[in-house]
Amino acid sequence: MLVLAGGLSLPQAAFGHGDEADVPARDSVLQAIALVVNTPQDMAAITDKLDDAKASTEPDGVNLADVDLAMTALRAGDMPRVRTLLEAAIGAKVDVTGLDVRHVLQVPAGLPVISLATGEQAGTLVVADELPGRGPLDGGDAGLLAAAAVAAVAGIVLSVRYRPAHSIHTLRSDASPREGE
Amino acid sequence: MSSSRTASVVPEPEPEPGPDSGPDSGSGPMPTTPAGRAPSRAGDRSRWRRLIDVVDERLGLDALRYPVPEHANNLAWSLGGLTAVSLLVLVATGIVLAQFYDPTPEVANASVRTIVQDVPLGRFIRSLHFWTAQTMYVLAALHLIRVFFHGSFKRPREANWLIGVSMFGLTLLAIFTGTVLKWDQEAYEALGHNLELGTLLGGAGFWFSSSFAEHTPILVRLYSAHIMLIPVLLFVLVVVHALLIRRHKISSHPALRDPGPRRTPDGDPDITPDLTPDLTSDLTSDLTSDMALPADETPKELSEPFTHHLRRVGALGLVLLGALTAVAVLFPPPVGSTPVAGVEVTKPLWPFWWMFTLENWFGLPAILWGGLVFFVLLFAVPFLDRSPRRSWRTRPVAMAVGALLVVLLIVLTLLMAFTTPAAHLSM
Repeated sequence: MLVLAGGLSLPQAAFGHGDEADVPARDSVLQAIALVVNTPQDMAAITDKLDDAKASTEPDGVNLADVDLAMTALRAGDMPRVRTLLEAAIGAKVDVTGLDVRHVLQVPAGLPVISLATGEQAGTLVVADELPGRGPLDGGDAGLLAAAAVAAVAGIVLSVRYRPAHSIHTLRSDASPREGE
Repeated sequence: MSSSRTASVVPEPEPEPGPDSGPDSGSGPMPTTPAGRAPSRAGDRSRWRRLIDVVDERLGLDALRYPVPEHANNLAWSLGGLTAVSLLVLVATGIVLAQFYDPTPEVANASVRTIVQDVPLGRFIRSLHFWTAQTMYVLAALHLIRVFFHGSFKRPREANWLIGVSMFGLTLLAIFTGTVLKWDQEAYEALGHNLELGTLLGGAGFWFSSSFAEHTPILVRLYSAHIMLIPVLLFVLVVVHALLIRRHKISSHPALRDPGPRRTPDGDPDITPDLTPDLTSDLTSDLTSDMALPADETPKELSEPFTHHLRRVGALGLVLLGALTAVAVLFPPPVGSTPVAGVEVTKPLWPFWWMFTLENWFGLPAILWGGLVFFVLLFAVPFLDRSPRRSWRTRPVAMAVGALLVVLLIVLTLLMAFTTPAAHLSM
């Protein structure tokens, strides 16, 4: 049973994808950037996406020469350069802060109308890196930890104080003679 | 320790409370007035107590002092209350987060980064919300297991079991929608699964289709569900759940079969009335009706006011809040990269892992069927296990099936921890 479960839990082949040639080259490049950010060790998947971009029937908005350079950088294992080249290929700029809304939306100055995502569209134009959960602890963190300790200790004291007068074991022991009747 | 407790009692609210009628004013067993109140001890009265009386006279809070069995203050029987404490923490932190979160797809992820980086205490509040949600899920699950184990769902409490399972499902939905709101790669892939399942459901899954409101980002609709639809449904069910507990009373402990006369906290026989007259009549009608409650439903142990149960839950809740605060400070969740369609590289949050192991084995529809089977089984519990026997020793089949289900879920969950997720989405 465990062997069967272990075998089934191995990585499975992907399915559910359609004809990649119909995917716009820009989308494939964006997907490749997402893979570089999330799973940089998966070189095969990144290469597939770049191949899809080059084979796409909709190459508009993509500088395929930059994609070729990115392929070369990928073979050399230079991932930062791969990302930079791919972002250059679609005219996106690195935005690790993600805070400048106009920058994220790439809204040119003076343009009154912008196109926003609808339905299930992701609305992503540039891929921002993961923001780590925590850096070094600071004074505020120490204060919160102290407050947590006070709350926990106070709670423990009160919950002991308010505990039931008799344990289930005690009540059950008292009831035992009656069970034999 | 026990001297601070009130032994029995449990008065119904009076139209004109006297000066000494406040709750919890005694220490140990005391003779009671006909209405069950402690006699005057003016020296012990505080301004705080008088303030409570003033409020109580107008709001009838004294009605919360209905009797509950002593064992209700045990930790295992307080899990439902702790789940409610978690819900309150989620509401409080959620209100703060909602002031700074923007559900527009282009900036949703950026707004979460703003909360974490720029809003004072934003990282902590988001982290507390994140960990409390998972804690609520665990506490609700443990509460369901406790109720199942002790047979507390049995007649006449079947409806409250169904309500509890519904609330458990809503908790899972709230976790799912909350996951999507951060709008990173994991969120987007979770949404993708959701959309595919909506398609599998056909017409019944219309709400999950982006064509249902094609000019509105589905993220905005999920946001409205997360902050409005699901919480409102949860609170309605919580209220009904509490009212049914009031109606049917907290179930007796199946291990305490007719434990003899009630006692005071000091162990002396408790000669005060067990219940107020109308409550007694409620109980009597329960016992004499054709419900024919089993012998172990006869509550003879010490009873305490429900306010003491709230007090104990509050104390345990303080411990919970302290622990969650520490975890929130030490382990704040990251904000993932902005989402891109067409890649599938993340795992969902762990409460969904068992479903995704099924997906890896049998394909995406297994999430739908696995989830349906799980909840149908939960809903069916009171209809399948109908005998009046409540002790686990007398219900071997139910215990075996329940244990098997729990072990299966744990194994499926652990398998996902060691599995590379397969790609199943077509979006």
